Amino acid sequence: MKHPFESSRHHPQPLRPPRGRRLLLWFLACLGAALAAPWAGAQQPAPLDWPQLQRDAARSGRTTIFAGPQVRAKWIWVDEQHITRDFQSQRDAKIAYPKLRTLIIAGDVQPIVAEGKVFFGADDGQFFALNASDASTVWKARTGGPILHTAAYADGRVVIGSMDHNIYCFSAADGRQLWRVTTGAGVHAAPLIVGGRVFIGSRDGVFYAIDLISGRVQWTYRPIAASPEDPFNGAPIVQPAASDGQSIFFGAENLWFYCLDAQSGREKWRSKLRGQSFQYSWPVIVGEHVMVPVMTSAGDAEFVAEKELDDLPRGTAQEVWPLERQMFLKWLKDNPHQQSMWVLEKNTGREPYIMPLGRVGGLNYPPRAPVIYSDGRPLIYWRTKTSTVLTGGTFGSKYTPDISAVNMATGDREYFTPPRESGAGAEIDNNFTLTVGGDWVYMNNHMRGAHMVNPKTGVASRLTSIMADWDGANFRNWGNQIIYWGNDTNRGEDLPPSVHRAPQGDSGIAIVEVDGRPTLIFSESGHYQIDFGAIVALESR
Amino acid sequence: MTRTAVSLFAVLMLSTYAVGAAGLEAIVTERRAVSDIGPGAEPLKARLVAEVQKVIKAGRLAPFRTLYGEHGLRYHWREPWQMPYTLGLALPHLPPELQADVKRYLAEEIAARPPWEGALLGPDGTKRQPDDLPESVFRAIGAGQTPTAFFPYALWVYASRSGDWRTIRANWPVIQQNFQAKVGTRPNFETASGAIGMYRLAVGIDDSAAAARFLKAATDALTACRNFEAVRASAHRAYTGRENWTRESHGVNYAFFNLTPEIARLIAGDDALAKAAEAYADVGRRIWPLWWMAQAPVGDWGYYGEGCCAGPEQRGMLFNYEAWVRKLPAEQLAMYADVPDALIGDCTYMQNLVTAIEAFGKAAWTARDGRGVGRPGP
Repeated sequence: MKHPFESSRHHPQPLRPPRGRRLLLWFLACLGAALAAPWAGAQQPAPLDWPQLQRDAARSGRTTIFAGPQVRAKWIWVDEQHITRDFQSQRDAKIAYPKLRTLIIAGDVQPIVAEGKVFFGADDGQFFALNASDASTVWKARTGGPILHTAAYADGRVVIGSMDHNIYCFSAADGRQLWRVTTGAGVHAAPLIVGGRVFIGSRDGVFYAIDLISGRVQWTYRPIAASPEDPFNGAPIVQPAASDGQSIFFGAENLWFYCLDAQSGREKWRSKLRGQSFQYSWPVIVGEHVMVPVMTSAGDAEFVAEKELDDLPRGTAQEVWPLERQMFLKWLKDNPHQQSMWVLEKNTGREPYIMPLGRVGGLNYPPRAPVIYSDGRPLIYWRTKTSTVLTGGTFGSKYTPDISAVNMATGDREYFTPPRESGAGAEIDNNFTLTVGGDWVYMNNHMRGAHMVNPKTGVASRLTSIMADWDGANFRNWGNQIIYWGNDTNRGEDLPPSVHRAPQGDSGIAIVEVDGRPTLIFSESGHYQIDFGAIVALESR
Repeated sequence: MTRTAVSLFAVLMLSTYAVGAAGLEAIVTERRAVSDIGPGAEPLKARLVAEVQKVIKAGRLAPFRTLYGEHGLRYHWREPWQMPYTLGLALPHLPPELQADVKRYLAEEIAARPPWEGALLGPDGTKRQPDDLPESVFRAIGAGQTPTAFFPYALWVYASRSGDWRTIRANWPVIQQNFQAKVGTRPNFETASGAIGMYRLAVGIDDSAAAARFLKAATDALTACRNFEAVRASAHRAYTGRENWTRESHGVNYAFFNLTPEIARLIAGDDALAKAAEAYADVGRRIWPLWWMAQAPVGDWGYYGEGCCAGPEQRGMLFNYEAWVRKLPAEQLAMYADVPDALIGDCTYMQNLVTAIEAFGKAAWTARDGRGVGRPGP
């Protein structure tokens, strides 16, 4: 039996992409990053990697390269013994799948990619480094508790939090454990790496700054609520932090949001927000602001403000949005507990305005975190009667939430006017998590599959879907390019009882280069999606 | 008779002996004592002290409000016995000055919200969560079922650990009356614990006639509880009605609701019961692998489960089973204690902390002495 923290090492396969193409992509990506990165002062990651949650410290979710819209499955990894490679697109095709589910990958886990490896952890405490070319195991390590969120990589080191109370640092090359910091409770959040330090909160109610190289804790901070005597002090921290390079931003479960000096840990400001939790979200740095999604305490989900939308006239966005805007500002004034997205000034914590944003999210979800589009503006889902980008179907509500930009000077919606209808849709309460590659917006939802849409052109592509017959999850006839199934309990196979998923914390699609080709790598699984789960790599056809 | 059959017969006889009539009486009358709690429990004790101090400082608490996805709106710990039970369990592990504060707090709490009365708690009191909901929204607390028949066990924990038998004696007629009104005909671990509590309360106030009556009621209840399928069905019927907001949730592990060490002893002493209970618990673990986490998402058959989290009570169900029946290592229980759902007054979290603390010690059942069950515990 192996020691819980022992690593097992495998021999990595050499990665040799075509040199000329790699250099060209590198040059183009560097150029793009240099021209369009006004949202963060933090150092940018290697252009072709995806080294932490939403790629960078600002949690922009953005890179300049893209794959698709026509794709093929490079590999589909279910566990070490069940890997399907060179999978050709076809309908309802079976992939290599265990008879009984062996691993559960938590909904929040976004695979990260660096040094040609894909890093992620599983509910059983295993942490994997796969060869990004073929999904073979380069190394793996074991922690003593479930891994519930995303890893982070920098300078040859990969860091992960575990519910066994520890934060681990492994050598990205061979999986050797380089250091471990023990906290007072399980670690649920994803680490942030910026400026040679790891920043991460624990459920013990302490925020940690750790030297990436030595593993020495440099400072800690215990979240203060209204006063030093407040009973809500020291609340658990489950939200991954974001940074602009100078400051660290995160929320604690007392619903206060904090800005700390990255060097000293000194509190710069804190702001009280409203809601129930920061779980399943993260802050995003946008120029001089930080955008903060919050899971509300309010009831209802898909039908929020439905009547108010019904009462508006029909028409184009140009005609109706001004009325919607007024309606939602009044609605939020009357129902302040429905506010689900905050914009705060980065330097003061002041809220400059309330966005005219009807609540998005629900069912224990916050709204999906913003992503930064190729033009530097943040994109979010908007509750609206006048969708322009997402014009396809929705569920429950009559109104498809739209993807539109935010005017950061005013908080207003800036909708796109693509020349054609995309036909892509989303749910108000079960959104896709967003990332951006080039001008494309990538959307991932563990139940609904992976899509991509270009807000400028209206072109959309349905990439994948698991084959399923559950409520709303059967996309066989929706034009998905890749449809696969593992063992679907609805087909009477010998499996544990079917569990309808709780797809909390869908993770976004990492957009990277593998073997000289732009590649999409993402998780298709939720905490309790026991009858299907996989890490998937797609590349352009 | 073959050797296998003989062996099987012997096992069955042993099992029957372990929980025979005398065994059942012992479950009712003997007291679980924990001693020699090791230093590994110190961090847990510190966490328990911090939680109890928050309760004392906050004063009377409103129910905990959650909106965990498709579970819908829930108010937790609405039964007035929850706080006397929770702080009663905590008492032996608190420093003396805090014990005094807790006794004062509970005396006031019980006077204001008698655990034997028939109503669930309303929205009054300090909020347990920082949600900043408008009062009109927060106070939209629905009517629910009345408190369960578990309350006498909670009262016994309170009285035996605080020494406040005067309150029990003064309200004994109404306690008896309300318990009788709540006892149903279906077997249920929670109700069986209530019957054990009634016996021990009777002993504690020297009512020998009532003690004899409730000893029989308790052993009868325990006998009925040896049919696990009946217990499971009864629990699921009792707790999954949508009108009971604190209980309706997927049904996973409901049979273990408010499990006590005494019921765990019953399960462990009956092979068939233990096997059935373990099979049931394993289903719970399999479809809810992170059951011990605050806000752990949960799924279920026939329910979409989009965005659902388990409410705090569900964490306690399997926790007690793992601690007392499966006897997991104390270190494992310490991890399972996790963090509170409610930042103030999380009864399940405090109960789990006590259980984890005591797992670092040695537990023993004291010999039956007739009156010892009514005296203060460890």
